This record gives sequence, structure tokens and C-alpha cells, in this order.
Amino acid sequence: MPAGELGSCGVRINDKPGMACHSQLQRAAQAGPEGSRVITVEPMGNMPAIRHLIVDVDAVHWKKIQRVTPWLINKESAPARGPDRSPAAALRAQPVRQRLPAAQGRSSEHNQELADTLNARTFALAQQTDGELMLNICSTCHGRRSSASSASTPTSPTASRSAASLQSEGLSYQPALTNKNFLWLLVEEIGLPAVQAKVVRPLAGLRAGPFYGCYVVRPMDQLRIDDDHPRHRYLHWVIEAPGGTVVDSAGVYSAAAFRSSR
Amino acid sequence: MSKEASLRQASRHLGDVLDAGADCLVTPRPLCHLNLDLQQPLAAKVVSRQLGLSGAVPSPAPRLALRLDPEQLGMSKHVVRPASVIDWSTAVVAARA
Repeated sequence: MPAGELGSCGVRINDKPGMACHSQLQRAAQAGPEGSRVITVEPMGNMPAIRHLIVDVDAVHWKKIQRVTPWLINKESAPARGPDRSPAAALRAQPVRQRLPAAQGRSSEHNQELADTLNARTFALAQQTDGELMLNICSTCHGRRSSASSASTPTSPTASRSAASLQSEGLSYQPALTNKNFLWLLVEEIGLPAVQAKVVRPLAGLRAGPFYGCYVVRPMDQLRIDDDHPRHRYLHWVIEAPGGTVVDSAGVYSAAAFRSSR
Repeated sequence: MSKEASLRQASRHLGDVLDAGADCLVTPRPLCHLNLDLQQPLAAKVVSRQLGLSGAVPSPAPRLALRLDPEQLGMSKHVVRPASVIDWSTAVVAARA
């Protein structure tokens, strides 16, 4: 039975075909003969059984595939092996030409471990400087990096693999880096009184509707939004500090519905 | 998310802020800004409503009050011209009349 191949765990469970990887024992037992709670597992019936649950996939499946002529035929011979898509390979492919990489919180859309590893690498590079905190201008990057920071805790299942990938570059990340976005920096580090002191022309009469977007206020526990850090009010304060007037609307904490696909 | 659903949602948020009587919308997130500014003409078309609401990321708001040049802040690059926020003839912050 080929391991790690989609469908390779196909078996007959109480006479019904199913995937062993996501079949729940309780449900399978209920589907058994009346009241018996017996689960009978047999090899798939459409392929010759080799032994126990192992069936000869090549005899049926691959034989059929080989009969098909592909629409596109590569003129060059097939490479000896496919490209290495591991996080370590992705790290090697990243240019290490700058102390801090471009401000981009890596997304988890494709591969969570890769995203966490690349973000941990950014943290590790930042920790090589004498900076006290990491500043993000983009709340998406900030949110992704906060998430990666949580994922890099020693209890995370992917943390050791990420650490090993970073080690191949001579890097290590100690989860202690303070990660803030620009809004927090204005309020918590610079302080609004300092901003107000520099106001030359107050924004008097300017009515501004705050729109936080989803990433800068969610998840609240991960972003440590609490009574001591009412970060879900900072944009209101930043509008008011130079003399502007806040105009609240229904969508103040909504997502902007950024269209990522066409 | 489909294009139309995205545009409808953007137009709802922009419409809510406009209906509340705001001159502009301020967001800390560049992607929200991109969507609510860049896509605004399309969003207006989908819901057949004139929007024209200027958006800004938060850094320009205090910076304008510090009398920094709106041009340097990149506010001339917005799709929806921030005419309600900036008097471009003198390039200083203008309050609503």
C-alpha cells in the first residue's frame, strides 16, 4: 500500500467503502450489524488483495493511468526527482541580503508550517539587531506575525521543525520579541500627548470614520486587547488627538472583504 | 470571495460611514485601504450609488495636523481624491465649511 498517497487508505468498513484515515470508530460501530457494535475491515473489492488490507493498486489504478495519453507531453526527460519544497529549501531560496526582510507577514493560505517558519526567521533576524521591538505598518503582517509568534512557542508541534529549518541557516528564534503595529506604537510608545504637542493645525471640523479592519482587533486574546490595552479604541484616539471628530458607523470593526481571487 | 460579494460589502461599509456624516474614512490596514479606495469606483457601480469617500491610513491623519506635505504622504496617489480632507490649492488641511 503506497503511504502518503490520497486514497491509499481506502478499505471496506462493514461492507461499505470508506477512507480509514477519517472514519470514526463510533460511527463505524453504529453502522455495523444490528446491536453487534462489530467493525469489519476488509481490503477494497475492486483491486486484487496482496495481503491483509494491502491491495495491488498498480494492477488496476496505475495500469489505467498508463493507458491514457496525456494532453501535454514534456519534450525533455523527467528530472530524477521533484523540486524540494520543504521549509528548509524555501529558506535557502530566500535571499539573505538584508538584516530585516521586506515587511511582509507570511500568509498561511498554502502551508502553515512554511508561513510560521518564514515568520520565525524574520523574528530571528530582528533579534540579531539591537532593536527593542518589531514594528509593522500593516496589521495583516502584524496579525500573521503574532500568530507565528504563538506557533513558535515550545509547545507547538511545528516549533521543533521550524527551529531545525532555521538552524540550517545558523539562526534561532527565542519567543520574546515584542511585535507591535504602527497604531500601537503611536499610542503606547510615542504617546498621544507627544503627538498633540506637535500639532500645528488641528483637524478641527474634520469628521473621520474609523475602520479598523479585522486583523487589528482579532483574535483579541492573541493581540492582548484588554482593559490595560484597549487597542480596539486606539484608532478613535488617533483621530481625536490632533482634533478630529470620530464618526462611528456599523462597520467600524468589520472586514473590508478584500478580494483575493478573481 | 467573489468579486461582486466583495464590492457589495465594501460599498456597504463606505455607505455606512458616509451616512453617518463623515468626511473621510481612516483605516490602519493597508489592504483595507486598498480595497476601500482602489475598488471604490467599482463598488459604487455595483450598488448604483455615488460614494466618493476618501480613505486614509492612520499615519497621514496626525501627520496632516503636523502640517506635513500631503504630496509627500502619498495622498495624491489615492484613487478617490481626498478633496474633503485636503485643500489642494494650498495643500493644507481644510475643515469642512
